[in-house]
Amino acid sequence: MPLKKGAVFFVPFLAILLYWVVHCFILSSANDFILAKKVSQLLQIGGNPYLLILVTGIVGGLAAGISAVFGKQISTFANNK
Amino acid sequence: MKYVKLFISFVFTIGIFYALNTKLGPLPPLGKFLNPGSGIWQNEKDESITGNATIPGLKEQVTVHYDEQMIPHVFAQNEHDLYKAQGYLTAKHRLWQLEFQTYAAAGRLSEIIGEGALNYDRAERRRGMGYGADQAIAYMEQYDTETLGFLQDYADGVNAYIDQLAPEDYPVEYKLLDYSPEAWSSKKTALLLMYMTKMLAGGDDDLEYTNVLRLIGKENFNLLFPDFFDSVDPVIPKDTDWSFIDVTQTELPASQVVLDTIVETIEKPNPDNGSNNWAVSGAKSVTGNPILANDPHLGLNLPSIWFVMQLSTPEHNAFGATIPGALGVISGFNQYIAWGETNATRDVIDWYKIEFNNDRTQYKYDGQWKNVRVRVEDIKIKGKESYKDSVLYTHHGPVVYDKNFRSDNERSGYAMRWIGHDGGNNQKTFIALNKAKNYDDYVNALQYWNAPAQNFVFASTEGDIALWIQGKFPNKWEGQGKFLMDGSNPENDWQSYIPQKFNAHTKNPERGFVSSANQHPVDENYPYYVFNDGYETYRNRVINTFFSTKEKFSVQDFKDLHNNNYNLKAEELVPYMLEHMDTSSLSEDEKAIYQEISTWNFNNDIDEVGPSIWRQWYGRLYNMLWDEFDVEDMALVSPYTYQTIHLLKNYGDHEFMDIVATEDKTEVAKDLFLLAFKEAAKRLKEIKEQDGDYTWVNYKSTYAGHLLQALPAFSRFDIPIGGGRNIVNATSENHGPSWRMIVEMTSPPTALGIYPGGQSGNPGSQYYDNFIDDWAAGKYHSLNFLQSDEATSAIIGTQTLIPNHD
Repeated sequence: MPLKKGAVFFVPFLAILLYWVVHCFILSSANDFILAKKVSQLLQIGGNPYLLILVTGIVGGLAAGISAVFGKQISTFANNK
Repeated sequence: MKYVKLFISFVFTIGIFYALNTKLGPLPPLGKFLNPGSGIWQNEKDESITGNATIPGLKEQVTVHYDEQMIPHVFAQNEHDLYKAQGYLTAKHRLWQLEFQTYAAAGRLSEIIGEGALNYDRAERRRGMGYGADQAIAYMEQYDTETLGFLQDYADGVNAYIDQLAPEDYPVEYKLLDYSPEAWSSKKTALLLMYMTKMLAGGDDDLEYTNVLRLIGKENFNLLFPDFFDSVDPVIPKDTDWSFIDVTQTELPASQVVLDTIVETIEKPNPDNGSNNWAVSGAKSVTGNPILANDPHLGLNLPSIWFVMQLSTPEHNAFGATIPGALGVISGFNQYIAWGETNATRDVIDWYKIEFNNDRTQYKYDGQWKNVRVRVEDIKIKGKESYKDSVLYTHHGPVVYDKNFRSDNERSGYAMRWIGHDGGNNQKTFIALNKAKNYDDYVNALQYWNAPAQNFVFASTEGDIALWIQGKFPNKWEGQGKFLMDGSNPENDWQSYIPQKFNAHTKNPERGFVSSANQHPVDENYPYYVFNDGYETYRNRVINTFFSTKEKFSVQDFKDLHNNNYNLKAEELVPYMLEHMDTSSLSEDEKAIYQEISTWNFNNDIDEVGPSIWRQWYGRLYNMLWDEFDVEDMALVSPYTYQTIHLLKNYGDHEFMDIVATEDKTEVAKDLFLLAFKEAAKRLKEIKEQDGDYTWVNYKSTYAGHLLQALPAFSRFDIPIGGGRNIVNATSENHGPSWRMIVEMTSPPTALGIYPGGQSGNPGSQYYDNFIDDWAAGKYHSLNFLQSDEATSAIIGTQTLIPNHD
């Protein structure tokens, strides 16, 4: 069943966000978040590893969401021809 | 409409993927950088220390045991395999640093960082760093293909690691700057050795001295910059008999100084680059075994310059500090001997004024015209077109300054004569020292060493101690190379070299110990010209005094001496200033500070305020005294601390004491004491209001900065350690004992070592900076010197390097 309206963006956005967040959390928690804390400081978001994980998720989610919107446009375009 | 929607979503998609995968300005490419599968999250771990790894070209298996400090103990069956393994393991733990240092050495930082590094790169090219590395390789190709073969082994090892490395496993810094590692080569090892030569023998003030001489005249120059201070305590003891030397000093020609005005010179290495080393004989040791110590003072960086390893074959077994990029152990020990280095600080750079013909294809020499050689330096710049710089070479060396670089004279330039360009075979010295069994082997190993000249300390299980000042030294005429020389006059060329066997040295001296701390190598009785190129004058006296305080010394005494915070410099001036300064005009606040420094015991301990007051006071005093040297558009250098203090105490009413800006007054030394004190007190009060106090630990705030412009996230700040410049514990803000080693010559030797960093180069590893706290506290780690490839209880993981049989 094709996704409609906002869901075209938000479903893949949330899916990838969740996937990336969980993936990062697993990798980082196994190492006491040593690097996450430093990179969070490097990117000037306060040295908070959880915030960096969230930002990572949003970055991945955005790419996924925007791609999905593009995909949807292609399929709409193709079907309407 | 649907076309528009399609188009917009297409642009967004392209846009977001471009933005997330491209480095925009100072930010890394965020998508790539944060992607959990390929970005920094993959670096959130320690390096593996178990399992197998394949290195093509290995002859036999190599066993690598790791102890809990993550020091690799390498057991290879032959030397070729050993250096392959060293290359592989160094790359595994320190790849980014390994490569970055050689980019810096070669003047290639613009390739990584961009245009901001262009001036740095140009200076390195013009200094002839690449040229010198080429010369070293050419020397080995002609005279020592064995060593060159080992360099290739090391390169094979590094490349085996790089070849197996997937992009997601690149060190964090590559991801941050968005580039990938390139293949390693023997030339890169030669570049690394040039980098060391520059760091330790790349400084000189000849051009600045030329300006100073023109400015203040010969008599004042000699007062301010004497070749020998009123008292020296040289590396080689004063009573040494030099009568065995039968080659005389080059005769003084009727040469004239060229009194040019030089506006600006290239950046010098940190003048604090130096070190301590010492050894006591068995007779002076509590246990009867000689004991040796070394602590090289360098910039405090992360990843640390040192990487500790045990490197063994069935024929030899060496342990100690290695430098990523160089083969073998640099400062360490094996089953029979221990060795360490301090910088000999000799003047091995001279400058010649070159006169060109009209189209700069020839230069004047000995009444004729000689052809110029051109070396085109192609400097690649990230995101821009590359920059081509043509550097002209004379028989002296590269013309560093000319109309294209920091000078505007169309038809002249300044050429550099540097021993670093002479193609030495330094690598051979380390490889031979790693295998040396006794004093003769040690002396034999040293003969290959040209530059940077080092004080090589030695102790053996046989009971010998020794110290050789080794380098290739021009046999200069009196005063040669102190100032800019006329490059067209052959008499100004280096005429010959001091024969290596006449280099100053001492073996088993009567006093029962040898030591060096970058001070004068010898006193006036040594029959060659030794110019004062910035010799240290405080650490050496504290060390030598320490060894005359009692009969016998222990390892604990050595630790105490490494961590000795006594400020001899302050002790030689503060009481004099307190006595002679007119205190009648001091305010209440100033009196309180006066009181604080009056009760200081001259130790630069972390909780003292005395060191901070002294630093402020002396710093301002020094600037006030040498205000004559604060001239725009002219490269100048002001006198050394020792002579400054000597003049303040003995020439208190000399014309230099006067502050030039106060026209109606003529200040003398004691006026400066007061003026500087009041300024210092004002600043100290500000610091107190801002930071709460000015205890030494807060005032100094020692830090270890990441190699990449001290990126705060990857650096360590506010390290609680005392000491300071010219103190045996030479830890200043960002500089200090970069490796502390103590070796007792039991059979086999028993050793302690520590450095301010950690074995891993990965900021995401717990081993990145885990030694720092113990180092700051003056603690040491026992070095587990394994005698066979059997894992002991100290071993936490074993990796086997295996040949690929295909």
